[in-house]
Amino acid sequence: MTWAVRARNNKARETAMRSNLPRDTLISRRRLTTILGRATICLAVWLAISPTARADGEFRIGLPMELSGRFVAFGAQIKRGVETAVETWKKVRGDKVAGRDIVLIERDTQSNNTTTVSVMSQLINSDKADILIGPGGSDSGAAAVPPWKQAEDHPVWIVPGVSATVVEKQVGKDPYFFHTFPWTYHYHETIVAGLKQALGTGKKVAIVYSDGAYGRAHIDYARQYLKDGGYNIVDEELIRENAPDFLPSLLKVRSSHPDILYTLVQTSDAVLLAKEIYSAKLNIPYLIGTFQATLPEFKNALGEVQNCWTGVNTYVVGLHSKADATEAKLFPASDEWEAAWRAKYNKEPEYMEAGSYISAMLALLAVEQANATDRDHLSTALAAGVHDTVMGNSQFQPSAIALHQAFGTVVDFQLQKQGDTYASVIFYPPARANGKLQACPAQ
Amino acid sequence: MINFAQLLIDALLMGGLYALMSVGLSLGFGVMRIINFAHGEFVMLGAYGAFWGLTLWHIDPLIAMPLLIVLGFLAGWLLFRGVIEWALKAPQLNQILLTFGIALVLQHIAVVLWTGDVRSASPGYAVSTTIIGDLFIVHGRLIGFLVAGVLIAALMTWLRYSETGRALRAVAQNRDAAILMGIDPGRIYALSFATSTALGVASGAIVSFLINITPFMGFPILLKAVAIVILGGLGSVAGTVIGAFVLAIAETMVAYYVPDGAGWTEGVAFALIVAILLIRPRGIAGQSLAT
Repeated sequence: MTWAVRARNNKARETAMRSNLPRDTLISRRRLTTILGRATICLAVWLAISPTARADGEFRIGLPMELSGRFVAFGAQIKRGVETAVETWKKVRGDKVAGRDIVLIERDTQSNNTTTVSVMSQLINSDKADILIGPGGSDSGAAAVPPWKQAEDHPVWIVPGVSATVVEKQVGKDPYFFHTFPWTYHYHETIVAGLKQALGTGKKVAIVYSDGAYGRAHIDYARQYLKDGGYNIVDEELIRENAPDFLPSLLKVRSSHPDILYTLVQTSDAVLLAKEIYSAKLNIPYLIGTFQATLPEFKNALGEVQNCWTGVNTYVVGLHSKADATEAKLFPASDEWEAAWRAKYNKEPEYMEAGSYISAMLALLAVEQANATDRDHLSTALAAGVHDTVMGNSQFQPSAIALHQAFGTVVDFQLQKQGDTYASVIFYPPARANGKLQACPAQ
Repeated sequence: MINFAQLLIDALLMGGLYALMSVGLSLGFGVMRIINFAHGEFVMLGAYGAFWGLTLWHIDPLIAMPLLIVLGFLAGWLLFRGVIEWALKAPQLNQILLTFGIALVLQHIAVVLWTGDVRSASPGYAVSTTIIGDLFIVHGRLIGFLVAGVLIAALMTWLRYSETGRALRAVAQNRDAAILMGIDPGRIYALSFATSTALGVASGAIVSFLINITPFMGFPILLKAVAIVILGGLGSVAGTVIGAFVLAIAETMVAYYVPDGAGWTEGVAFALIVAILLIRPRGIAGQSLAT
């Protein structure tokens, strides 16, 4: 023991005696250093052997998604879509992509903005994901932006959902951001174009929108496109998200005698709103929603009430898209892909499942093409890839702000009773139409 | 004028539903002095029970309700004996955390079992309507109102005229005196908690066809119920019923007459709470906490 150590121990002993504490309650600096040293070694070993640790020869796909909470339906769709894409890839190409193992890192944002921030940080900083796919909801998407932007060398980020343009404004110009879902204005541009084609102009429109991020993100674009399209907005009603009763607002809508009711609400509110519109016998000829009418949960919850609701989306079952010319096994014709989906999951595929499948497949093809997983090679290969998919052509092009936007083209459809079921009849654009917009039957 | 009459009809029908959602919470608090933060989750479980009864076995929610009430009562009894009883003498914060924890567990079990998808029971009467001139009455709401009325009347009759009901009120009024009269407070606590959960489950069966069913529907219901119970007076069943109608009418009128008022409806409940706490802390017909 050196004199210096002896002196330190003596000093510690004196201090302990002065404070009337037993000597063993104090830790010497040497002991503390030893403990910290061992802890550091343990941490390093744990990081090295941890399943989430970065390893060479891997392509790591990070999935920030809503696996619980209010928007769990979105997360479940992303999970199924990406997992199916990876399974399909392994069947067609084998277990690896460009010689690398494919690793999926699934993280639950709990539909909570704070959790979304930490999940994104974890995927980027700890999990070292090469690419991120998700989340699905606009709220979560907006929350995911800051940690991604702040991360130095942030990875490529593909978003297969999120229509709110606040996200486009914040990250659209980033060369590593890719969006495979329409922005808000794509919805309203197409809805109004479809209405103009079917009904002409000059109709009276009442708008019901929610006070949440969804309604607020849509209302300005809805107003703009309706006014530019020659429609007369006779009433606008703000409703509270998740309210148990919308009848007071609907009574005001009734007083304005609109030809078209234009609703900008999330699925949960859309279900209750549709029921109350039916109950109140508003007898409005045209009922317009956004994406909800494609969702099984909307249809299942409503039964006969779903009839004649109109929606808009990138994908509905029965688009009869052709297979990709070069990658027909990865991007088969939509009829074949839908049949395989039904066989696997015993249900119809949903739009975000299709979008997530395509997003993951495009990422895998980009890695193969680039033979690299760094963000520069990956983003260049992603931007260059063009395929025919179940949602149409996958080419990334600039949108109003974003550099990389695919699938901005959407379809207008109406749920129409055919026998005992309700079919999604596409009425716009004409190239994809398989029927006409019909007025709702008077009650 | 027509719209005012229509609003009043809607508000009254909604008030009945609010009353049923809140009366169980009020009963539980009045007797045990514990606010059950899992009350909304019992409403949620009742709603899922009714939904699955209709979807899987084509049992109408109103037919399924008696069975659900029995199951809710048993679940409440077991939960009290197994968990809540241990926290009766614990600090109030512990009790709040305990019931809040139970709520979270039930919520996540529901997510695991049934996913977060929005569901809604759709018996024919849920959206059918009777038109009277320019007014309409939604049958689903009317039925909900009538069933709520019957259940609340039955509860009040039981509390007022039955031996057990009187014992329950005795414990609520003065626990020590009730013990001296030979009443077993542990049994009465279990009974009131079980009755409270049974009422929550019953209101779940009704809301299954009136509002959306999700695993997360419980918390907004709890908030509304707490607001009503504070408004009506903690522990007073009659006050709770009055509070429910006051809140429903206030919400409906604000939603209609105030510009963008539908966005303020949640605020109405809290504005009423603040007002009642400042002006009359005991609520409309409640007992003070000191008693």
